[in-house]
Order: sequence, then C-alpha cells, then structure tokens
Amino acid sequence: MFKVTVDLFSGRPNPSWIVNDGRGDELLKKIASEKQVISKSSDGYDGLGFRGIKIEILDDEKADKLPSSFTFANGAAKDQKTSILLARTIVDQMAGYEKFSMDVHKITPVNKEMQKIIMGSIEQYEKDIDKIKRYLKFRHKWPRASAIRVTVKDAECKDCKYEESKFNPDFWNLDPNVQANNNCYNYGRNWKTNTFAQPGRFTGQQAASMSCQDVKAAAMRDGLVERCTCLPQSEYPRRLMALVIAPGKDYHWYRKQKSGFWGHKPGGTAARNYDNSNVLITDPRTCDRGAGTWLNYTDFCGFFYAGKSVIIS
Amino acid sequence: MTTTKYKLEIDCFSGRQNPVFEMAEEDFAALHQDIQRLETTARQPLFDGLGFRGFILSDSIATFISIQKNIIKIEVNKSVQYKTNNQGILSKLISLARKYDEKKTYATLIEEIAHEYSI
Repeated sequence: MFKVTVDLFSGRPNPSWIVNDGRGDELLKKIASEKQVISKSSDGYDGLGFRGIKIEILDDEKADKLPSSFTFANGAAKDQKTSILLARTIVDQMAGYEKFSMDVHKITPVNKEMQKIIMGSIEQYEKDIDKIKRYLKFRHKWPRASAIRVTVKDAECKDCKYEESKFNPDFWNLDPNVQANNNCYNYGRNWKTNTFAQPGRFTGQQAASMSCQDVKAAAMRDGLVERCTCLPQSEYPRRLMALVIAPGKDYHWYRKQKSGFWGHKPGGTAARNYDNSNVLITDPRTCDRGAGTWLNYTDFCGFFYAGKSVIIS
Repeated sequence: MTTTKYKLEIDCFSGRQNPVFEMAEEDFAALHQDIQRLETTARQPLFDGLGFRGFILSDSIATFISIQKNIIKIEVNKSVQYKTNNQGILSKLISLARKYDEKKTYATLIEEIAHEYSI
C-alpha cells in the first residue's frame, strides 16, 4: 500500500490518493527492478508547475531495496523517459482510487477533471525537460532547494541581490492573536511585531496621507530603499517588497517569495499567495487588488528592498 | 474587576488599523438580539481579501460576529453559527457607525459602505 502525491500546485493542496491493490504491488516490483527511474524528492525541480510524483510506502511489506519514499519525473532521475512513462501510468489509474476518501479530496478531488490537469502538466514537463535539467544543474551552485532562504540576483538591476524565503503562511495564521495583530507591513518586512506596524512609526513620523509619495517616504525613513539601490551583504537578509495604494484610504505591501510568486497579508486576515481573484500572484503590478470596488488599491508605487537594519513598529 | 467592552469595527484596511468604535452595552445587546433572530444557514465562506470585508461586532469576553452583506458568522467561545443577513441589519450597522463616528473621521468611508449596501 502506498500514497501518491502529485507535486503540482502552489496554493491549493496537491492531488493525493492511496493505492491499495494488486496493481500497486506490481508497480512497486517494476520500480524496484528499474531504480534509475526514481530519485529523492529534494533532488528534483522545485519551481512553479509540475514537480514530480511522490510515492510514500505505507506498510512494512515494501519491495526490497526501495526507499520508503521517492519521486518520479522531477528532473533528477537518470532514466527520464521511463520515469515519465511510469508517472503517466500512475495518473492514468488514479480515477479508481477516489473511493479511499482523504480530507484533501474536499479541496482537490481525485476525478477525471483533475486527471486531465495532471496529464497536461506532465506533457508540459516533458516539453520542458531540457530547461528543467539546466535549472537543476545551475541550482546546485546555489543553496539547497530545501533551504528556507535563498539569495537571488535581481533580474531588474545590475549587480543587486536579495533574499527570497519559502512561503510559510502558518507562521502568521495559526495563532489568532498573531494573525490579528500583524498586517501587510509586518508580512512584507517579515517581522512579527504584534503591533500592526506602520511605516514611519518607529522613526517618529508616519505617512501624512495615503498617497504613494507619503507612504513611500515613511517607509524609507524606516530604512527601505528603492529597488536597484543595491544593499550590501551586511544587510542580509534583504527582502524585495512592493507597495500599492488605495488613494486617500489605505496602503498595502507584498513580499517576493521563493518559487516565483509573491505573498501578502491583508490587514488582520490570513497570509496568502493569491489575489482577490484567487489567482497566484506572480506580479503585484498586475494582480487583482480590489478591481471594481470602492476600496481598490489602484496605484502601484514601486518595488523596494528592506535589509536587516529596517526597523518597524 | 474589568469592565466588558463592546466594539464595532469596520473591517476594510490592510495597512492602517481598521476604524473601531466602542459601543454602549444597550446598542450591542439590541443588535446582537436582532442578529440572533435571523434565519440560521449552512456554513459559507466569508470574503477575506483586499478591500472592504464587512463589520465586526465583538465584546471583550467571548463574542465575535463577522457581518458581511449576505452572511453573518457568529463565534461564541468555540461554537460557530451562520445567519442569513438582511437589509435591516445593514441599515442598523450604518446608523451605529454614523452615531459613534462623532468626529466624522470616517464619514466618507461610512457613506461609501452605505452606498454599497444601497442604504
């Protein structure tokens, strides 16, 4: 018996199901005889999109020489062709296993529609396999993919670097007091002050109005600098933040995360990585910030770096 | 001995603190009673994105009520109940917000909400 998890989504839970019949046993035997088709999960691709199919063996009768968990089709196996073929076989059979109900099925069902989405993502993965291999080769020169924080070169600026951290909403959302008392500025700076931090408050002068000019000036008094004003290594960790304004009403911040998306926390609500249209935020300039409502954060004010010397309160 | 505080909050901002008004006990009790009389409904998701989310009615003991245009979520200790909202409750909320915003600090904001609620 084993659990299959398709590592695909970023915001919603990944599709997952339990295989508990003879077909599964046959598959495990086949894998045990062709071990070059599997790899460790941590060795594979970790960007956006399809990242492989993870298998976790759930009983103590597993085939000899197989690890208790491993992954197919994540760019790291030696025999990619067979690895992808096996991934397709597993997904092809998934519809038969929806009867073994799991909590995750309420949000991410195991059905024909999901099967179509997964098959499409595997097809895309196969097309991109050379790019993924190049990515993995390059990534090994940088900190491990499992690292909580990675240093990246800012593609928009010559020579500037900043740090991106792994999206960790539980830190902000599990404790109701933490969620209620930390806002978008806390999240953007990545500092839980429990004071509903305000730009400029620490330095004694908050924004005079809810305009790009005033909120930006207040944040810069706290120590933020405009993007492409490179921060030295001594300011590690350096965050990339984005500021938007609902003119005359309010401001809002986003923070760049690892894996190509942005996180944010609207006031005392939960931290998340999707916008008002429930779409993953890949660019805060174009995401839904309240379009069509009277409290719409229409004005994009710019990107900023926040180094370790930025103090908020 | 601490005194119970009754609050009405306009849940709308992301960066700034939401407007919060301290209410008289009788206003809180009357509104709470009106809400309890509403029709109970099944659990429904509440909007929690950027922008105006609704009102929050709370006491400092155990009651926390999230009020949105069509749905109300009542949390008392660990029990949760949902009610179908109506225009009468929305109208009372707007009246209370106007009443407690004595210095008219949030007058424009309250009128925008009234407009959204067609009040």
